[in-house]
Amino acid sequence: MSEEQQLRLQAFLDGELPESDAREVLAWTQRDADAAALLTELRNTRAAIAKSELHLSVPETREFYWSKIEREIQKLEPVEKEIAAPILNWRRLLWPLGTAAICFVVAMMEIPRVNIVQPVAVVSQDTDETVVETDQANSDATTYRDEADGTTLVWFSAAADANPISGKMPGAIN
Amino acid sequence: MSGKDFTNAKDDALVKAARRGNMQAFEELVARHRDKIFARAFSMMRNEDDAVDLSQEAWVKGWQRLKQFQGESSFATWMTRIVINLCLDQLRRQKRHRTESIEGMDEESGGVERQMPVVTVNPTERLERGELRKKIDGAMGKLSEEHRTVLVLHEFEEMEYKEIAKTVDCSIGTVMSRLFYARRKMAALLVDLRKEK
Amino acid sequence: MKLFSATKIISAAMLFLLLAGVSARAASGDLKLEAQLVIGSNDTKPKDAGLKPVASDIGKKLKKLPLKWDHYYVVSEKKFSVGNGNTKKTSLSTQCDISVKNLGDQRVELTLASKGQNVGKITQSLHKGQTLVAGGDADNSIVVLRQAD
Repeated sequence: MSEEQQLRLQAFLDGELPESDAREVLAWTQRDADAAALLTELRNTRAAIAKSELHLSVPETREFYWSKIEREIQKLEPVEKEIAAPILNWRRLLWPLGTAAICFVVAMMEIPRVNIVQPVAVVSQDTDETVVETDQANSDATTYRDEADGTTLVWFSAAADANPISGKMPGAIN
Repeated sequence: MSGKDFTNAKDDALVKAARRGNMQAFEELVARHRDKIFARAFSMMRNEDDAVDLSQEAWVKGWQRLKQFQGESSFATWMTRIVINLCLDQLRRQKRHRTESIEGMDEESGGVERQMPVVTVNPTERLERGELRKKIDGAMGKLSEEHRTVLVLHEFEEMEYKEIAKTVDCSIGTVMSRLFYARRKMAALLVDLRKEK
Repeated sequence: MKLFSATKIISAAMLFLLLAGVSARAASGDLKLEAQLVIGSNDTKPKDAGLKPVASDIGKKLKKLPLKWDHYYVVSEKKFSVGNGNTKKTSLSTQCDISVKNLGDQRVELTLASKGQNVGKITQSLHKGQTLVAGGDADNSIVVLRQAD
């Protein structure tokens, strides 16, 4: 295997290849045992490293560690405090007030599209439904939702007996 | 926002307050994220004193640049990037004062990793999480700085090749070669460690 | 007079920044996603020795679903970003393609295709912590989609 092939294999593992190249590499690993073995080794190593960063703590107390940072910051120029500008001649307010009015209007137009960041791992309690469309004739879709876990399962099947959903019906688990 | 509120305040609120000059708010941010920033510095420098100094320098820089933080990433990620750049600067300074090791030259010239036998067993099977972490850390300590840096940036910081190349100031090809060597070396080291066990 | 000119400049700059912020906010609706192609099996080891089990958190979620398999193994994994209003197509295998459209407000439209044929389309919210699992009659493969960490 050439160096270029090895690096291509690695790029495939890391998702750095364009789709067409990735398909080629995948096909190659399915017919070449050496390529498959190297890919497995790289994948194992990557998986081992990615989740195994050592959790270290700063070997100093909070106060001591901060005291050195604080000293260095205080040596820098002090941060300018905001000073409220006294209201002067109304003519001076014309431009800023006019701009503020325009800004307000634009902001009002934008607010409905602001994305509210959801907290991590909190399942939405809103009434968002799952909408499913099937693209093949005579096919069906089964949807199962585990609200507590935040998991939705959708299964498209053309025939009832091919459906791998076990005897439990959707909704039977709370 | 009073001092009492800071412990429960979210990072966004603390950053806002710190931007207005509130040192208590910034101190809370430091307390919250200092271990992570220190750990990143240590993973790159492999020296505790250097890691402490560089992480503190990163916090000072963070204070100076607070107004530039626009929330495009989490505050912790933003700070991590600052400490990474400081570590890279320090490594470059250290390298100028040091001759290359023979191993380093071998790695850079390439070819070593292509001859390593493929590791067919998963060397991390049956290892407890804590044990695995220690072994990974030990193995990473045996890599050269260049290889460890690329590994840290890719595996821990999840940077893409292009971003790593820009950060480290080298070509994408060099990033790929170093990453490949580092991974193969890690696989071999982990197998050796498992055999010792 | 000098101060009045400076005020004009500052006001104009504020307006510019607000408009820039508006467009930046639109860009911040990007979703960073992770898609995995997973096969289900009742064997404790996969037929293809190169496959590894799914991560434990995903494994726990899949085991709670009313599927007939006890074990799940990752065939491939892709991480990608989809901008607000944009669609990202990607192949998870030579036979499985997906297309994900970012509808904004953390809602996605996932289209599944098997062997080049569209199987179906699912539209739903995909907040952090939520997982969408989809499959069809094509063997024992399922697609797992969620927001990347």
